[in-house]
Amino acid sequence: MLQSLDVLRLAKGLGEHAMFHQKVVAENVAQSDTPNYRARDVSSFRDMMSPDPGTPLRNTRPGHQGGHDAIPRMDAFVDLSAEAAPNGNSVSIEAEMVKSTEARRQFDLSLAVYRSSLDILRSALRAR
Amino acid sequence: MSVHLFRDALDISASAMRAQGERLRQISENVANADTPGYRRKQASFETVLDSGVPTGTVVRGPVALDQRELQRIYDPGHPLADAEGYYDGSNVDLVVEIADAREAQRSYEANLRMFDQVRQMSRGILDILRR
Repeated sequence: MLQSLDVLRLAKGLGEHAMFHQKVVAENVAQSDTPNYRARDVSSFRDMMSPDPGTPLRNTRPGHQGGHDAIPRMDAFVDLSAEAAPNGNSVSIEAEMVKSTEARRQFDLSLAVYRSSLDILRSALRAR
Repeated sequence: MSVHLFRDALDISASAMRAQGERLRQISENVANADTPGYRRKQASFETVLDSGVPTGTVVRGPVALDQRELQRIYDPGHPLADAEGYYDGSNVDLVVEIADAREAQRSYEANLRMFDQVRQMSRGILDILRR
C-alpha cells in the first residue's frame, strides 16, 4: 500500500533529488581550487517532473517504465553561464552556498511530508 | 533513499578538507623556510580523482613542484655562505603570496566543512524518521 501512495512516492523523489543536488554542490565546493574545473548544476525538481508539454508518455500497464508517473533519472550538467577564474575554474563558493541551502530546504520539506503522511497512516490504523 | 549519495558526498567533502589541510601544511613549510638559504618554494595544484577514466568528484593534491623563480640575492659579507662580492642566495618565498594562499585554503576548508556538516544533518533527518 505504501508503494501506491503517490504522496510518499513524490516525497521520496523530492528527497532524492535534494540529496543528489547536495552531492553535486559538495563536489563543486570540493573542486573550487582545481584548475579548469567547470561548475555543474542540476535541473530543478519541478522541471524534471513536468517536462515539455508535448505528448507525454503514460503508464497504461503495470510493466511500463519511464512514463509520466515515473520519477525521471537525475543528471548533472555543466553550468555554462558561470564565469571562469583565470585558472579556468568556474565555481563560485557563494553561489554554491545558496544552492546548498535550497537543497537543504527541499530535503526538509520532503521529510516533513513523509513524516506527516506516516502520521496520517498511523492514526488511521489506530482509529480501527 | 539512496544511501550511496550520502556516502559519496561525505567522501568528496572529506577528500577536499584533507587536500586543503595538506595545502596549509605546505604553506607553513614555505613560511618556516622563508629565511633558509637556497630554499625553493614548494607548490602543488589540485586534481580530480579518476576511477577508470570517470571523475569521482573527490579531489587530491597533485605532485609537488619547486618554484623555479630566481633566488633572492642577499648582501651580507659576514655570512658563511657569502661569495667574493659578499652576496649569498636566500629563498624565493614571497610571504605575501603565502599568506594570500593560506587565506584561500582556510576559506575553502570552511566551505567544505559546512558541506560535510550539512550532509551529516540531512542523514540524521532520515534516521529521526526511522527512530519514531
